[in-house]
Amino acid sequence: MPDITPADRALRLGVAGPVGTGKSSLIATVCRSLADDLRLGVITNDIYTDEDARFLRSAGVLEPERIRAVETGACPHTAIRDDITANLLAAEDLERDFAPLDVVLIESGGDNLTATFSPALVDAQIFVLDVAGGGDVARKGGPGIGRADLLVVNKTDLAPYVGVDVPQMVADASEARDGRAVLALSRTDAASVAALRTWVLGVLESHRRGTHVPQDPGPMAPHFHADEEHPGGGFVHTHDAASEHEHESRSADEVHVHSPARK
Amino acid sequence: MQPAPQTITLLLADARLPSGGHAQSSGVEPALLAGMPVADVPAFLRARARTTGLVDAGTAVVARHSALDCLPVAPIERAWAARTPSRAIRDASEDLGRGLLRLAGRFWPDVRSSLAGLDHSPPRPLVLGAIAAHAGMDAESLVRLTVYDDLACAVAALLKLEPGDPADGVAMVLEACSSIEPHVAAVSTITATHQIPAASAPYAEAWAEAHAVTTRRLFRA
Repeated sequence: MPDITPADRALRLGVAGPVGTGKSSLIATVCRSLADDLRLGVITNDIYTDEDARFLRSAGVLEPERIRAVETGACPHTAIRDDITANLLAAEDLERDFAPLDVVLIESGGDNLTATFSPALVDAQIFVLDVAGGGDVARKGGPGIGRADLLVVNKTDLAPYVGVDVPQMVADASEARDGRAVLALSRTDAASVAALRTWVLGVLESHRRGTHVPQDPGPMAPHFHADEEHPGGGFVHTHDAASEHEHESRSADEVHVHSPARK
Repeated sequence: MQPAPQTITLLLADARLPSGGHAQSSGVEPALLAGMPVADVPAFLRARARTTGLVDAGTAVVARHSALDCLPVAPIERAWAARTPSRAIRDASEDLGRGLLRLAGRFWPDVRSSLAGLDHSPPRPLVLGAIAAHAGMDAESLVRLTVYDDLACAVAALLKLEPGDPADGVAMVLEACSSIEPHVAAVSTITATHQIPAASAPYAEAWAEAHAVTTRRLFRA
């Protein structure tokens, strides 16, 4: 099979995040808001096979054939990072069977805060947290929170019921991410869905121009150290000497969908 | 400098090789879902080695021989498929072969040309045989590798499916590998498709077919 450059094929967009934060729902939202404009495909990586694929098929946002599930052998982390073979083959098959596709969304199986996609599998990735998981999760950092192309704080409509201050959570996230894009999302908030749509279209545009550089968020991302003597109870720092360079390469496709006030 | 053939054998037997093996259970999940008792897993692995294992090993040996002599691979694929009647098992093997070929093509481009002429992805034993030819592996190592890799994959999956002592899994792999030693010399010298062992495992094949249509599983097959 001849190699094609990434800009010639569909944008492969990963969606990762802990179990239950709304990855499948976010993909359904993306599909709903873009299905009229773009040719889409979806690959799911379930822990216990094809629950997520069936959810998306039943949501009716795409033709069922455009949604495929791969098995992960109980290792969702491995399937998106250490041995990406099954996902690469599924992406190639989907792109071949429905050529030409604009975007292939790849949903990770719900894993922990360290699970991020290999840059050899996806061109860009979204990391999803939700307010119900606790307002402090964003501050804890980790590769996905720190360096995914977009961090989504999902289910903001639930914030009043779980006692989370959304602007504070977004501010914490922005600080842990050194200003990278953060989006407070609720599928019931049309403005936030429109912002998500704009972000996806922006990444697709830079992917097509060939200016998008896949990022590798892990494994040593900025993270939070608790320190009682430090204002705010601790500090965020990074070990990675190359991070300055990555910050620069990122600017080409940066879309500020939310610019919370710094603390 | 080429890597030593022994190094390639070790590489191909390493579960960390990124070629898609971690999503496979070598028939263990299908067997357990079908109700086979966990206590029967050691016997299942011996049966797997003696049937599917030796069919694959013989196929790999003939594929290696054909790649060295630049012979067509399609008749070997047909001989393997005839000895592997379950579509689900053939699909799993083709997935593994495709993942392996994707990786191997980067290091031994000639592996792809040795496998040209098939209208679908070559199954795992064909790819292993072609790699062996181009990496300088001997046939006996190829037989042991083909069987060992399949059994190690089964036991890695077993630990995810049933709680148990990981060291017990190692014992099962070694026992099942030892059980085919009496056949290794004979299988490693075959050169023609009609000499490929033709032992089938009807229960395992039926379990694989049933597993392929369940909606709740951890492994591909």
